[in-house]
Formats: sequence, C-alpha cells, structure tokens
Amino acid sequence: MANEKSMTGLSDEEAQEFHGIFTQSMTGFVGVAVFAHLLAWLWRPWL
Amino acid sequence: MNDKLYKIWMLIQPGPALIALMAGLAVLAVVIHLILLSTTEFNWLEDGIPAVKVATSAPVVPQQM
Repeated sequence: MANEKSMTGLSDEEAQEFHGIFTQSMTGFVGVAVFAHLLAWLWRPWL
Repeated sequence: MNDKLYKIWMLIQPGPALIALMAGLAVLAVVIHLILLSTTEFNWLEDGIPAVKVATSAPVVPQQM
C-alpha cells in the first residue's frame, strides 16, 4: 500500500527522502538570505 | 509543521518544481537588485563610496631645467 506509485511516480519513501533534502536546502538558502539582509540592514536600514 | 507535508511531492513533480522555484527566486533577486540600483539612496555603485577621485588632482607641471 505504502509503496504504491503516486501522481508523480514517487513512492511514499521517495517523497519523504526528497522532502528531507529539499527542506534542508531551503533552510540553508533562507539562512544565507537572512544573513545577507542583516548585512544590508546594517549598511542602510530601509524602514 | 504538518508531518504529512512531504506528500506534496506525490502531487507535484519535484524536478519542474525545483526549476520553477530557482527561476522564480533568480528573477525576484535580479528585479530587486535593479530596483535598488535605480534609486539614489540604495545605489551602491554610484554613491561616492569610496570617495570619488576628482580629475583635479595633481596637475602635470613641466619640469624646469
């Protein structure tokens, strides 16, 4: 049941695995962006 | 967060979604940078920092013999 293919052809396990990598990458990207915005705010606050 | 959120990848193709996400973020970044460059307050290339070198520096004086 859990190994049934879905609309995208990913199994439950594959979807979970992809989601883990995606979440980790997204978190890293957002972290870098927050740091860049912090530096930009220190350079010239915009509010 | 919803612990079933990973099931989104059983509805949306991961490949095209990644491409679309990256393209969208890239366009957003370029647009924001261009908007900032078009302002006077946030243009970091023509704000005179570091101090602009003015052409009136050290005129060339012919050496007297």
